Amino acid sequence: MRNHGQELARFLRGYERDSGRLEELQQELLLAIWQSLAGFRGECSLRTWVYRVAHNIGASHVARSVRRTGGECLELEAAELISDEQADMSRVERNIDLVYILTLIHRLRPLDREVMLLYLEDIEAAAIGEITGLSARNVATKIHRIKALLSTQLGPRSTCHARG
Amino acid sequence: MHEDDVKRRWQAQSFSLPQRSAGDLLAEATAFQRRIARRNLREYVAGAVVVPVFCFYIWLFPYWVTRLGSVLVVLGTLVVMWQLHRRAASRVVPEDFGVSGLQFQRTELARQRDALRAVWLWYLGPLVPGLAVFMWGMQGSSTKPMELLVDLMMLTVFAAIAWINRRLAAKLQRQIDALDALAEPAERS
Repeated sequence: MRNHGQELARFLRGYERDSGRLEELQQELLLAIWQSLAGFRGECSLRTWVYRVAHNIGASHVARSVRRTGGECLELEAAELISDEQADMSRVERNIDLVYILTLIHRLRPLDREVMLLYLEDIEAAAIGEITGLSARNVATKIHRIKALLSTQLGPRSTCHARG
Repeated sequence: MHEDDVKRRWQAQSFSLPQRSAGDLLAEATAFQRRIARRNLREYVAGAVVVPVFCFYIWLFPYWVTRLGSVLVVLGTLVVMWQLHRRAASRVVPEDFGVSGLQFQRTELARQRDALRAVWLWYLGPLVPGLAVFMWGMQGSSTKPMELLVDLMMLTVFAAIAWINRRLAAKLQRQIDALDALAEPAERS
């Protein structure tokens, strides 16, 4: 936790916005990691392992939330379309706006948001495949779409300023 | 496009998980072992009562079948105590509770599960011959309704013990399954 606590905390924020439920989710993750580490035999890196646990916890959480609220998640392709519809929104406002990115992430399907969160953490494609169970080709396709999505959303020339 | 800027700013966000110290984890594992130790202590105390009582019966009852039954109950009880120690004794939790400590905890869950699953073999089984012979010696061949009721109650208690322990073993198995499932890759969406 000393080594990966911060990035896992960021990762979980991609699954839950409500602070109370986020804290519960964090507790759930810590317990799951603690329990699952008993089965850790060094077949992958510890970082990959804890992300895999976080992935399972996050995906289950989203599935529960969707059942509870009846909400829908977007495909990456659909998210790109929304971006186009909102093209008149000030790009200066949106530029590398972490709150905006987080909002976008929350609208994606669990596996897409997972890949995006891992991509933002600079996890390599091979490790993303190990964590999510996706094929290398599938990961590459999704990363390509994520790059296109970010490009469309954030624009090529804007200055950087974060609000989150 | 400034993907790297996005990533850099994303990773610069400083959040932290709730603190869960190694001491907390150690305390949880220690509590589990304490529960096991308390349970075993109750069993040893029960055994310490049963053995002298049935030794007294060997001296008390004149009929050889009853005396033989008492001897078998004493021997069966000693076997149960030995098996309890061998299969399900509590253990000392490693002070340095890292990954090896977590492995220890999982192994302990599996060990207690196995002990509970086989309770009919090592806990109930050794007592059955002695109790059956003892009851036979006490009741003779013409059993009265009240004696039948006692027999039935004894059988019910044994069946209940077996059932409760099977349920407890299943509970431990579910915990172990949940741990194993966490390590599996997520379902493809």
